[in-house]
Amino acid sequence: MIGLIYKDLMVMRKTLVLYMVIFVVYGYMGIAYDQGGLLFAMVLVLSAMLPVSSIAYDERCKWDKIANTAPLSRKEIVMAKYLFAILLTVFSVAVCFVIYLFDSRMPMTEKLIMCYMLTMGGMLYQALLLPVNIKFGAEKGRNIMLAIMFVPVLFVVAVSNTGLVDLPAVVLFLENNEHLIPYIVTATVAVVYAASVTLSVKIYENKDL
Amino acid sequence: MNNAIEIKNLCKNYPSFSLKDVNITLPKGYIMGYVGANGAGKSTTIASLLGLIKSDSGFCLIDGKQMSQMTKAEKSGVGVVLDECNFPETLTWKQVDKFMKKIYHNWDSEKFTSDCIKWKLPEKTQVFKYSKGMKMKLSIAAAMCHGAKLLVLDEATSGLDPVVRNEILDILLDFVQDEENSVFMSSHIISDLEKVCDYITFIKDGRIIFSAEKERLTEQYGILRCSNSDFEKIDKTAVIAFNQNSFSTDALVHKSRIAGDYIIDKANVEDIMLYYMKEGKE
Repeated sequence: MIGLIYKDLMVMRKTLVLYMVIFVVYGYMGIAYDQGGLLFAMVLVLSAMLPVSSIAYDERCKWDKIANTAPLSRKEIVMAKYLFAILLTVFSVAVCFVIYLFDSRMPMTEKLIMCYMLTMGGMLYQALLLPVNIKFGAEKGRNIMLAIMFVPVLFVVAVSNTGLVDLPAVVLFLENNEHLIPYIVTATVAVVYAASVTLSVKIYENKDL
Repeated sequence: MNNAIEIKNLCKNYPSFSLKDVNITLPKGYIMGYVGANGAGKSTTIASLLGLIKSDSGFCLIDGKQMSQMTKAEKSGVGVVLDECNFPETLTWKQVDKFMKKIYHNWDSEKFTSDCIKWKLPEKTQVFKYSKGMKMKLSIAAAMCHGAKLLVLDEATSGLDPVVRNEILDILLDFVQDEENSVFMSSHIISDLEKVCDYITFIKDGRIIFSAEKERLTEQYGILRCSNSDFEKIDKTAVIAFNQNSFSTDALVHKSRIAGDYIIDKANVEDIMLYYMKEGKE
């Protein structure tokens, strides 16, 4: 599995360097013009796009055919992709943190909260993107993702409209119990991520290569 | 277990193509050529053998085990070369070596490096800049440096010039010098198979037409050359297929079933395949 992650890192190394340069530029602009959102958005894009790009690279050379004849199980191949994705998120959040160390206006607590939220956001993106891309491939997956990315929003709107969940009450509860938010967010992302991994493994195990 | 490969009653259905009851047995220590026209089912059989696709029925065993049930050590004993080089194109062979040795516990980095140097693969050039021959050599070098006892090649020599093809065939012949090693290779370049194979399996439209020792095939079949009137007298159960013009007939026949004094030339594997591929009697 380490070999697969290492391969992905080598394949994506030039893109990673490019992203790092973009991070520095956006980070500088963010600090100079007080537009931190620019860099945060880039971190989320990197977390979401690079694992998908690595799937696209694998598809182009039909790497999966060789990987599946190597001493690796299909589960390991999928897990390696997720670990690579987590590694990218952690790395890009760490770079983002280092850049914002130069911003003396932002308190340390805020920086740490920002890093936490970025990690959770990045992982949530990956949890949605990876199964779709593993199932349909990077090209089709991209289009399908565009089509379904607003489904969670529609779902929340639909649920609140039907009255099954009292959304204002939920918001009020969260406002009164702010200390619970990190636990709720972490638990939600962990559950979604675990479900995503399980689904991707299932998809990949049944896939004809 | 003396069979390197055992495929029994393998079936796989697609909307426009079916693999029907494929049976193949390759004893250890031999090279089997798997031949057929494009789209006959060679790659589907190999994909099933390697566990890349799920068959609808039947089974494929390598050294007595299905690929999906093999331990990691057993999987290392299978080297695979497909019709394209499947390594990431932006890497060099040095980088391929670096990550592959983290995948295979018994990856022989020294052998891989020496093969790449011996076959003049440029060290700093990315795979996508390689010629087709270089890509194939890289794939073969990778397939042979983790203690493989069985090499499976799918159209590995297609699109290569004769010099490189010969080099690759020599590598395969060297490989089976160890009697425990076997090769299963598909190709539609019959002359290549004729040079190196001990066994030939012929597939047409998803069905195995025959699977036999090469020597037995060439002993069994012959090309009958006779006049059209003589051809009329021939027992037609002996005839596989024929070419006829206004004066004479050439036919692929079972030699043992032809009685009488006729000219029967030796049929090589290519003749046998071509006649079998022809429309007409099978």
